[in-house]
Parts: sequence; structure tokens; C-alpha cells
Amino acid sequence: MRSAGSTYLRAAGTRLLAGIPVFVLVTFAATALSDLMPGSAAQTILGENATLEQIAALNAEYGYDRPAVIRYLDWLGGLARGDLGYTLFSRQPVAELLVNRAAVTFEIALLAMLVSLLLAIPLAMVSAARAGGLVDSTLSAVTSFLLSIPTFVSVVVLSYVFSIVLRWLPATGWVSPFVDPLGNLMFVALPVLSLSVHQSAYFFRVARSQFAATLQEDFVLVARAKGLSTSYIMLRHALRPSLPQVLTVLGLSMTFLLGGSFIVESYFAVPGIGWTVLNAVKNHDLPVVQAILSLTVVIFVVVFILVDLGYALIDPRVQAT
Amino acid sequence: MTTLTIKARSGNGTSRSAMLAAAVCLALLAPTAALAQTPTSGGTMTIINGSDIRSWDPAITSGTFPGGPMDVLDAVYGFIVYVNDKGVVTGGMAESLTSEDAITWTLKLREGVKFSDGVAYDAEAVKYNWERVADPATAAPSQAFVAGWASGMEVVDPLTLKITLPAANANFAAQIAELAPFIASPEALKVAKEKSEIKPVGAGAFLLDAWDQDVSVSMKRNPDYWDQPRPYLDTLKFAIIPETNARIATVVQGGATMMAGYPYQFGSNADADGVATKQIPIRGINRAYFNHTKGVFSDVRAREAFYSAIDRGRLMQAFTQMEGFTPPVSYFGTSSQYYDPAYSLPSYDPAKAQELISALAADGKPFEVKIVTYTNSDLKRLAAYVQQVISSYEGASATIEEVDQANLIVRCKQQLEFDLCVEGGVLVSNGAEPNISNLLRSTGNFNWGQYNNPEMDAALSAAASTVDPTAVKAAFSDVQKLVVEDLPLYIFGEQTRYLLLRDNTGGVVNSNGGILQKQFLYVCDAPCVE
Repeated sequence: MRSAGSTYLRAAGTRLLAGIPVFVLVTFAATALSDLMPGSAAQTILGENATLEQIAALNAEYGYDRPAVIRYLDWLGGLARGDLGYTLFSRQPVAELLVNRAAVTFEIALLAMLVSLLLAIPLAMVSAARAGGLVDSTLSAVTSFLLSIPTFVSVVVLSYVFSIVLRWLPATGWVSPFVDPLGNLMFVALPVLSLSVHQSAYFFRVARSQFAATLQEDFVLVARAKGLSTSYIMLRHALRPSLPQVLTVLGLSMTFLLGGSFIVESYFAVPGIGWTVLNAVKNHDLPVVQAILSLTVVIFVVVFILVDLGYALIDPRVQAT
Repeated sequence: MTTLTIKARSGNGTSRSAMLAAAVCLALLAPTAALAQTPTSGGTMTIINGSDIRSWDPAITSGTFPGGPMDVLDAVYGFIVYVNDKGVVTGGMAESLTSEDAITWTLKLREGVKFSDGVAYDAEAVKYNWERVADPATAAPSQAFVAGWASGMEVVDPLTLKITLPAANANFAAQIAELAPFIASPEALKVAKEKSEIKPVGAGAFLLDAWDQDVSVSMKRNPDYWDQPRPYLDTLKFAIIPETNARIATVVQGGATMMAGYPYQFGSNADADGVATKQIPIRGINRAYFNHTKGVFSDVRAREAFYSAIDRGRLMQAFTQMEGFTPPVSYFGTSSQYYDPAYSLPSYDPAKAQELISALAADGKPFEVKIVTYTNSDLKRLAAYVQQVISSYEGASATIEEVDQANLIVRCKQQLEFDLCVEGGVLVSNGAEPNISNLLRSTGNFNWGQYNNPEMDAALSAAASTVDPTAVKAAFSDVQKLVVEDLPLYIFGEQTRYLLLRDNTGGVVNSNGGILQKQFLYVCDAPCVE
């Protein structure tokens, strides 16, 4: 009989292998599709006054006149050597850029997730404990409203209120937490709030329904019969059985947060990977696009592996295979 | 006319009588205070723009949008000569660029100016830079212009460069300011194997400190700048914020010093505390290109019908969501020294439009207009308005194709797949040239619709071939006559750019259509007026 550790390792390995075709497909598509995009790197550099001949010559200098397959194989070779190349214009090492920009996105995503969970879980427990009551109805209505607000609207509203009217928070920009920890929190506040608006409402609704279902279980009725308090039952008996569903949502929410970061980072000019990849696509900076897509695929594969394995850890009825 | 509006800062509990007393004192002191305002050294400013610089190659020049790539290059290299807001060429890094006959030009350089690597900013350095621009291998957008006279350069002495042109060109100095203004250290250019390896080694007011691609460019004061005690600022930053509303919010909140734009974009934010707006008194035109090679607009009657069919004031209102636009009557503004009131663009006349549309249909030329523009909410409104108005005429229709902004030049200039191509920007024409030739000459860079009239080329050449102001004005009068007869462009609006800026920003001097002369910028202790 295998040990639990080796089972988890095997399960993780299987899923990692399944992620390789996804990785190849996505990164190759990025190379191939870049040929279909309007304009070119040379056009971006030389501006609208450049002649077609000048544009073609500079594209050739950058190697953009070669077939997509050759360019892709070149990039894969570089990746195998740990060389992700340099940004097209500023000649920054892409690997260094990737680490710096991903750290920004992860900080915002994790803080947004933390804020959302800290808001949503307690409120969901309160709401589920009084299902059908005034608090439950009010919270459900509020979260329905928040869920209906798209991120591109919430960024504008929050920016207007906190930056223009109240002037409490910076409208755009970024500073490293290692340089200015307090300043960093000020700069990330609006991006985190923007992402949390939707996420906390989403977490609330999922957790509330899960808590409500758990509270109908026999073991909760037994606990109630024993005369245990509602708060004790929620924390000791209902919380853990309700978590697998929340965990699934956490995995999915990571994809939302990464997707949402494109809008939030662009609006608040936060130099994370969403901001970077949008600019890189616009500028035909293919080394940067490839690196960020690769990182995104890896993140998604790893997150879903962790979610799968997390089920098995939390709920003994689920086995890692 | 330069306009600067400043709002009073909000009070915080001051009594009404005290405020009244203060207001009286301020009113009495105001003229003195304005005059007493002297530049102070130190401080930091941040200029916001929507996109980043792509190369430090001094040969890559385009655009005059304040805070844009040319502004960034100017901070490091400095314009060799500027075109000031009156359209007059003035000294920059060079003392002067002058000519008696418009054929032989003399560039006088300043003594003792050095690049930041210690190399002399002399006639040899200028000659090297311009020869490099003329070399097709550099892929400079201005290659054709500079190649036309590069062989006529002669170094007279270290501070004098003589340039003999193949033909008289009275606009040469203005063209240099627009098309080949930046000079970099020849040593820095020689060691770079490709464009992206070029390091910004100039003799301008600032030195590059850090560049985080698509995020910010940070510069520090050049202590060896020739025009001491300028620059006043210790640090100058260019921040990249693509979203217009986010740029505005950043200035209002105090996260940056200034951004450029138009009043309809600023809205009520221009009235916020601590914020001012400053007009850049340089006129620009909103224009669209007619396709002269095929389709309905290859017939001049269709172009006239288009002018007559649409109220251009209403069109600008749809575009900007602001009222009060008067349609331009000429390529030149009515206050321009070249404006000739004898020639006016067709005004709004629906009956005339219908008559022309019907005549075209009778000749087998249905008035079907394909409008090509790029994805942008302002342009969507503009295109939709045109479509709505044109479709209201009998026998006329319009379709809209929206493309990605980067693809507009491909779709219009390169593929000519349009009847009317609307480019959203305002083309600043600080003086007549070089933009008027770029738009109207058969070989012009901005002549996307391929308008071609040898008479127009001849008139533009005549304007360029003399330094006699009367002769220049006469030649530009001919140009206006042809503009009205041929209607090569759809000129639908005229605007000037504005800056939205913190009200303690001093030393705002614009040139070349909007470029900020950053060496003059300084931070005031209180709201300052110039």
C-alpha cells in the first residue's frame, strides 16, 4: 500500500504532465497569433512617419520576418537554457521583469483574497445562522447588487470617491513594500478594494449556502440537541465540512483575480503582470508576452493541482489519484 | 492668448470676515505677487502621458503631444532649435540657425557645451548625427528630408556648421526643429549595435536615472547644463498612465504634476482645489482624409457634398460632448499671418448637399461612404453622427469600420481601404511648415488619401523657396485657393491643447506644438500665475 505522501506526489505529477500540452498550445498560439495583430514592433518604434521599407528592415533586424515555428523554437530553446530574453525597448531582462511584476500582482491578488475572505466568511456564518431573517435578506440583497457591478465600473467609482472627492488614496501608481511599506498599502488599497467588491460578494454567497446546507446535517442537529451554542456549532462543527466548496471557489477566484488584474492594474497604473502583458501585446513585445503567458499557465495548473489535493486533505472521503 | 485659471483653495474654518480681509489683501497684492514670482531650484515634478518612449535613438522623432516621447527625448537631448508658440524659430541647444537666402544656412553652436559623457557638442557632432539620420540603415522617419541636404554640410569651425541646400527652403529651420532636432553623443551612438542598445547620452537639461518600461522614466538634473541655473527641478519623472480618467484623477489627487488633454476630457475636475488648467496657445486641426484614389470621394463634387451635408459645429459637439464650436473656414486659423479671407471652406448647406448627391447618382456614382476609424468612444460618437446625417439624405449611405488604433495607419495609409479615414488626434501646425506640406504635398507623409495636384506642390514649393514674407503669404494664398477648390481634406474642427496641472507649477513654456521646455519648470510654494 502506498503512503499518503507518494499518492499526493503521483497525483501532482500526473496533473503537471497534463499541463504540458496546455503550456505548449498557449505559448505557441501567442507566437503564431502575433503575426495576425495589426502593426508591428518596428512600426511601434519608428512611428507613423516611417516608410514600409524602413518598417520591414527593422522587423527583419529583430527577426520578426522569420516563420512563427522558427521563432517559437528559438524561444523554447532559450527557455530551456533559462534565458527568457530581453524586453524589446528598454532591454530589461525579461526574467527579472517577470519576477518584479508578478510580485505586484500576487500581492494585490492575495490581499484581495484575504480581504474578501475576512469579510465574506464571518458574514456568511452570521447570515446562515439566521437564514431567512432580516440580516440574511439584507446581506443577500447587498451581495446581489455588488455581484452585478463589473470591475470596470467599480474602479471608476472607487477612484472617484477615494481619490478625487475624499483624496484619501492615490489614484494611480505603485511603490515597493521594501521601500515604503505604508506607502505600498496606500497604493494597493484601491486595486485591492476594486477586486474585493466582487470577490467578497461571491465568497459570501457560496459560503452562506454551504453553511446553510451543513447546518441541516444530522451531526449539527445532534450538537444543537446537546445544547451547544450557535457560535460554537458554527466554528467547531459547521466550518470544516463547509470548506471544500469554499476551497473550490478559492481556486476559481484566483483565475478571476488574475483576469481582474488586467483591468484593475491598467486603470490604477499598477505595474503587475496584467498591466505588463497588455502593454506588451500592444507593443508587440513578444518575449514579455511569452514569459507572462507561460507564468499564467503554470499558475493555473499549480492552483488547480493544489485545489484537487486540498480536497483530499480536508475531506477524507475524497482520495488523491 | 494664454489662459491660466486658478481656483481658491478651500478654507477650513476661517471666519468670513477674516477671509474677506484676506481676499482684499490678496486682491491688492495680486499684481505684485505675480511679478514677484521668481523661479526656485529644487523639487520634483511628474508629467503623465499615455504611452512610453520606444527608443532613445535621437533619429526617431514623431508627435508633439506634451509629455509624449518627443518631450522625453527633449529632456535628455534638448531641441537644437525650437519653434516657439508664435511660430518663430528660436535657439535651443544651438544659438541660432539662420539664412539670408534660404539656400545657405548657418548653424551657430554654443561654446563649452558638452554631452554627459564629456564629448563636445560641436559642429562635428551635429554633422555626424544628421549624416546618421540620412543613412537609410538608421531607418529614421526623417531620412528622406535629411538625405536631401546632408551632403551639403560643411564644418566651418567647431561652433559653426554651414548647410547648403539643393534649393531654397525658407522653412528649413522649422523643419529641423520638427524633424531632426536631437543630437546625441557620437561616441554613444557608435557603440550601439542596434536601436534598443542606444544609451541616452545628450547635453539636455536632464540625465536619465531609471527607466521601467511602460511604467515610468525618471531623470535627474544635469549639473553641467549650459543654461545655468536651469533646470530648476532636481528630479523630473514621466509616468505612463494609459487611461485618461486615471490620469485626471492622479493630477487632481496630487499624485502627479500635469497631463495634457482637452477641456471636454477634464470636465468638472478642472475646477478641483489645487488644480489649474493652462491653454497651450498653439492651434491644431481635427481632420479626416478623403480617399482620392478610388470611391466616391475621388470626385470633387462628392467632397463638396460631404462638407455641405454636415454641420461641422454639431459634429464637433458630438465628438467632444461640448458646445460652442465654430467650424474652421480655412487650413489656417483666422488669426494666422497667412490666412486669406478670400477663400473659405464650404459651409453647411443641406440643399446644396442633396443636389450634389443626386447629380453624382445620376452619373452612376452612388454616395456610399465607408468611414474607417479606430476604436475609441469619442470617435465612435463622431462616426455614428456622420453615418446618421449622411443616411438622412436621399440616395446616400454610410458604413463604419472600426479598427485597432495601431491598424488605422495600415488600413488607411498603406491599404487605402476607406472613403473617409478619421484620425482622432489634433494635428498641431505651429506655423505653416512642415505639416502643411506633409498633408497637402503629393509626397507628404500625412497625405493618407493620396491627394495629388501639381499646382499644390508648386504653390508649396513657392512658399518654401523665399524668405520674403510677402511672397510667402502670396504662395500660401494660392495654397488656400487650391484647398477650397480641391477640398483635399475634411477639416472639421480646430482646437488647442490644454494642460491640467497642479496650481503650484511654474515655468510652463510650450514650443513645437506642445513640447514643454522642461528646463524652465519650477515648483512654487503657493499657487503661481505666469
